[in-house]
Amino acid sequence: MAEHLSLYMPEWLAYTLAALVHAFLLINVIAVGALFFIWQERKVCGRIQDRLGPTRVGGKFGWLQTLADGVKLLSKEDTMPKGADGLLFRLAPYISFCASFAAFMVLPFASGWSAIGTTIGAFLILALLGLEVFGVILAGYASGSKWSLFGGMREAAQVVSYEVPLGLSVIVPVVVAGTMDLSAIGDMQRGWFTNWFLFHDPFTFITFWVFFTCATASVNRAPFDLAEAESELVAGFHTEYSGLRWSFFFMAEYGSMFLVSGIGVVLFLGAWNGPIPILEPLAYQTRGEPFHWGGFVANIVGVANFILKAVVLVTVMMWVRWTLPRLRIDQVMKTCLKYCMPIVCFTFLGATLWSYFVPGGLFLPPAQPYGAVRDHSAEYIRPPLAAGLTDNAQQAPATEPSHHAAVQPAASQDAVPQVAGRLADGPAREARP
Amino acid sequence: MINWHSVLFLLFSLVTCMFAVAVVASSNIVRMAFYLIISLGATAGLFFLADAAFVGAMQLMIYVGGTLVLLVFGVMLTAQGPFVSMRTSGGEWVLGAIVGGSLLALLLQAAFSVEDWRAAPLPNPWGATVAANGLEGTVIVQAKQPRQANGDPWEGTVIRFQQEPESGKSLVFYPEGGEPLPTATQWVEYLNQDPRFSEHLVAALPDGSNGSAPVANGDQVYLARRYPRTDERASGIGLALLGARPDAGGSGQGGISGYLLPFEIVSIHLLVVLVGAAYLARTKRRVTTNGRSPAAAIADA
Repeated sequence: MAEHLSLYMPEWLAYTLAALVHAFLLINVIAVGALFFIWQERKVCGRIQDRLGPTRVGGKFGWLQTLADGVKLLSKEDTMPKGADGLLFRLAPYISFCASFAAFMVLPFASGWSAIGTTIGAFLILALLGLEVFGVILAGYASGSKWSLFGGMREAAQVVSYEVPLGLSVIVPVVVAGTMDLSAIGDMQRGWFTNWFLFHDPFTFITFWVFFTCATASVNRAPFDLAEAESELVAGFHTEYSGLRWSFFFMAEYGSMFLVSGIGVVLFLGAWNGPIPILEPLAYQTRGEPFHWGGFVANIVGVANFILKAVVLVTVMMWVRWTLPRLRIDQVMKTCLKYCMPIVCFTFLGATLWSYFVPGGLFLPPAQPYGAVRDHSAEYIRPPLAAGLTDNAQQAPATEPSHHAAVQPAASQDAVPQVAGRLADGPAREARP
Repeated sequence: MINWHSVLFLLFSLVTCMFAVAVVASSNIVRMAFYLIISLGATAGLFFLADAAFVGAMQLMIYVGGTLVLLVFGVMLTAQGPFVSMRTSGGEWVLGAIVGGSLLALLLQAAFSVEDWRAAPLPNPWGATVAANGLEGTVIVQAKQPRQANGDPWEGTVIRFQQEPESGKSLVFYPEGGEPLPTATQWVEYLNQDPRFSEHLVAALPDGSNGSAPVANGDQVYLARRYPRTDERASGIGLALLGARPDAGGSGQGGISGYLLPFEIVSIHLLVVLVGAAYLARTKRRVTTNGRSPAAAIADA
């Protein structure tokens, strides 16, 4: 986006604007998402417990209930225990929220639509997500309360353990795709739903469920919500929080729920591609063009697809929360070390062997990434600059023309074949407006 | 005009240094760990700024997300009471200053003995040189204009030719030691064949001019090349961290041409931090809690 903007304005302004727009959009995704998910959680919880949930605020279905709660939280007093460590107590909610927000920057919402398009997206997003635990640990420690401290320690133990199977289960689709670029991984699953990595082979199918379990645990949701176990620890790490700071923890929690669901969707559930490739012809037309309405529409529909799938996963998390009882800490550890780890190690091995011996999916051969767009492998093999010429070109060449002229013919012979190749496709591609 | 690169570099490096100092100055272990988190996180920011995204993500994953969580966890498990703060005796200060100072001296020496990082070899071999050389009339190199082709952002430079009123000559491109090339198409072909330019040049196009007619006043040529890929830019610095200097063209002096030594010393520094944290967390006699005497604190525990 910054590149497009810099056509019309100076570069520094273009980059600032692009950064602001991206940040604004993502903040809204988190904030509006949290508003919706909290309302949804109440309705789901109500349904499962055979009651109605919110019904009044905002007319039908109580859809403004969260907003009313937000206003209430804003007007609450911001208390801090006397024995607390003031600095860390105040900062902790923001650390949680910032980590969750930072991870959103890498998440692609449609083909190529992410705030930061990086080639190591799958890795970076895990690294950023792992930072969220600091907020909880520091909150637990800084509150100066036993309940909070217990909550924080449980969270630390749990997250450190679950990061291992979570990371391994993310590696499995990365092995299948051969890239860590989330956008490319999404593009590979285009076509019919049989191309989704979930159905790629039996191992990825198993891995998805392990991933979902570990993701639920890593965002601290029931049945893994030991850090805030309200039946034992009052409210765990956020016992002492109130008002706005408390709501930041909530926003971070719902933000990361959506985030891990989004990662699951991109890695296993076909990302922004629908089950039936209706819009594929539209998307194809975007290749080689800077902007095309067809591709734009396809991407908009893709965003809708993506959000729908992610919301479904979030709903499953809620369903699980209100169905299963909370695990004990030993059961949590047992789930991680005795079940998730061995299973994901096995599927990792299996998926590796599968992609080596049976390159291709279970039902259909997998789609390749759009070659012209993201396959840069050819660029890595590049003849070195002709010796001596670079220096001449950089130091004022006008001062020593004779030397220059002498060197040039030899070098241009070297360069002619690849220049011819480039001439054949380069200008031809570019010249068609 | 704001150069965001410099601004962000200053910001991140300031945060790194300030919080590194804060780690030493603070007397509360958990706060120290928190400052260390920020310091190491800002270091990761520096890596991202250098386009070494993978190194940055590694830094976040291993040091911030892994090591420090364990560190905080360990402190919470072993601390004798809430908000452990430490008193450091004079002897420890002296010892610490000697060890830290010698490490700093070693680091500074190692860092400044290395050649400066030069601009990557990729930048514009054709920009001003083409424009200024062999052309009669004024050549205006306009701002870089990115365009998109095949989904890749291409960086291009628009060169517009403006005839000087007094010369009255038509614009002709004289390649060095070659025939004059009067039309845009001809010298675009020349640019594509000259290895100095064609190496990174994907396309040079007459832009808004009739290609076969002699170049006229106000004509533009769009020189396009691909953006250097992030990976390409990162691999240069990555190699430098391992000791090789692709930017220096192999002309590094002696064995210390790369950044291997500073890099390794920094990693040893992190090891020292870990050992120190373990030592501090398990020490019993020097701990006081909230100003009470050590004996009372131990008796409480």
